[in-house]
Amino acid sequence: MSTSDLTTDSRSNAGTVELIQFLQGNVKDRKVLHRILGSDTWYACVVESRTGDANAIDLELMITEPTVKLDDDPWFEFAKTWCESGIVAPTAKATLISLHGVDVYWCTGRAIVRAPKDRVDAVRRAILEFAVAERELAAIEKSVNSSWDTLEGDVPTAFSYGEGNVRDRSELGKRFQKAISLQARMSRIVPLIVQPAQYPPTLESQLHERMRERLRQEDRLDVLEGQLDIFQRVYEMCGQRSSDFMVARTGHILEWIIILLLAFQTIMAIIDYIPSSTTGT
Amino acid sequence: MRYSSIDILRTIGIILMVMVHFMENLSGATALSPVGFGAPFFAFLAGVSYSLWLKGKENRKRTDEEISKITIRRGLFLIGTGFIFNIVVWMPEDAFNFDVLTYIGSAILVLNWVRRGPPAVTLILAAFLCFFSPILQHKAEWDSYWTDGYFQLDWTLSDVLIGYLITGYFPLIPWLALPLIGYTVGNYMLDGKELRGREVTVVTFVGMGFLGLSVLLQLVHAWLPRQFVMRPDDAWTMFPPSLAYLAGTIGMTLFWLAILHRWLDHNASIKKDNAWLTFTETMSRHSLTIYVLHHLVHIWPLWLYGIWMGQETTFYWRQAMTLYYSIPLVFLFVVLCFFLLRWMDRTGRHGLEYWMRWLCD
Repeated sequence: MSTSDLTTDSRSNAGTVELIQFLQGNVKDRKVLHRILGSDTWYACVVESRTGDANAIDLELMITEPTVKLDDDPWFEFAKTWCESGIVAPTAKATLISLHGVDVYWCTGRAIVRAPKDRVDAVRRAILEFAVAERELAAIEKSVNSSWDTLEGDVPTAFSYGEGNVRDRSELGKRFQKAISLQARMSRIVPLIVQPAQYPPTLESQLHERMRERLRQEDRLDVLEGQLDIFQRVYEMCGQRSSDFMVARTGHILEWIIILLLAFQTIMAIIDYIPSSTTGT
Repeated sequence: MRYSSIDILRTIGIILMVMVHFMENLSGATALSPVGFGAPFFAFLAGVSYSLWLKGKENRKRTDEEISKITIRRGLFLIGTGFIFNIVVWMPEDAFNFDVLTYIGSAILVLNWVRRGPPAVTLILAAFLCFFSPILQHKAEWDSYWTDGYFQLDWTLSDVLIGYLITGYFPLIPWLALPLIGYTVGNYMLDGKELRGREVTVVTFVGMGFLGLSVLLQLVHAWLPRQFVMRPDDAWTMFPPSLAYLAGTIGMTLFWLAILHRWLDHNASIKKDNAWLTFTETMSRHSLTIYVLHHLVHIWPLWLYGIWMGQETTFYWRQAMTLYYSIPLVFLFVVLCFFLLRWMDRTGRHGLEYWMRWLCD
């Protein structure tokens, strides 16, 4: 969305839109807006144009300057509509944070800021740090929520593993890896979410803290931890059962070969023992 | 999903069986019978169908115990039907001739046991059944039970047991190998959702391997050890099933199942309601009914005609008519049977399959 895309009513409120992508690793050729330090280093890079992969854009950030503030300020309506019409999560509701003369509307994948020029940088930094954690958290939540049905299907396998499950073994392995990798991913964003309060407080730290509180990031982290624990427990048990079964299975095959050979030997002995009583001989 | 490949092969199996029985029982033409592929197709596909049925039950979250109970009931139903069939169709003295139905019923009971074990054990058991069968046939003196070209036994426990295991029409050794292989292949190759390309290719080549083995066994037949040969003058015999015959029929079934599965089952361009597939589906769904019905319509008239003419009941068996009449009767039966089955489907009349499900499921 560029300013030219905005409606006529909201044009007066329109500001500049920054398209941002969060990256890790090598960002040599990219324009870095902010470097976010946590367990990993993230870079908020500017995306020059919308052409190409639309998914590359993680955040659309609109910066506007305050005009005269009225009771029925149309900016709020405009900001809410703009935030909620983002392509990432069109059904999500925008949330407003007003702090020290700065207004921020946040919705998944979109944020709009109204701040005096001298505070824009601090506000942007706070939003970017919050956004990268929020993006990771939402991705993990989405992944967990889409896996409950599969988990329920796999629960019986955690209790008993049979021949019919052998074919699903690699799939179970992949699910276990996924559970662990989600846990690792979650652990890595903890430093971005659980931070000591800064003193003396700054606008950046206060805004960041307020956004984390408003989006309940710490609580969600706790919930996710519990959920991922269930996944890990189930798939650990599946792995144990599968491993035990496969070890026992190899031995069983050899045992069965011996049993079958003995069975055929017994049949031969029985046939030898029973004289043919047919009159046709 | 319904597999057209299975329907086609089962229809071929049934038609071949009808043909063999009409030609043998009406005209005594054993030499001209189409090389005995009917029963192997039928038996092999019983194993494949069991694997599909089992997957369906497991997907519907039926417990292992429930599956076992249904399987055992089905097995016993077929064994019971087999004995009733023998008594009603072939007369009480042939109650223990161990025909296809008692064998398939027993195979289902065995499949209920092997389904919990590793596929390797199932295949090893199938290999042992084939490998040991000529040795056991010698030990049991197979020829002494087939003196007049058909199976005869005294009603003693030993003869009944040996007939069931080795010397009957379809004894467990080696015939059990076919449903066992069919079950393993069904589990391995048929998914229901998508074509398992690699597995289908493997089965195709294994089928070709078995066909090659069959040719090889026929070529070296004269040099095989005596214990592995029941008929020194004939490498390809169905009674008793020779090693070349077993390898050939297993190979043929594997090969055609894999080829048809690849071409048909996941091919969106083939309409499932075309006339040929409707025909094969109808015949396949009612295969058990057809098996019993075709015996009734050609054996009972023989007995009744014998009695009416003041002869022994079995007087006209194998000498009722020439092949010029019995072969057209095969096609007449198949056509009439198809329309009868369609009419039964339309009017809600049920065949034996329905009664099996009603009683056992």
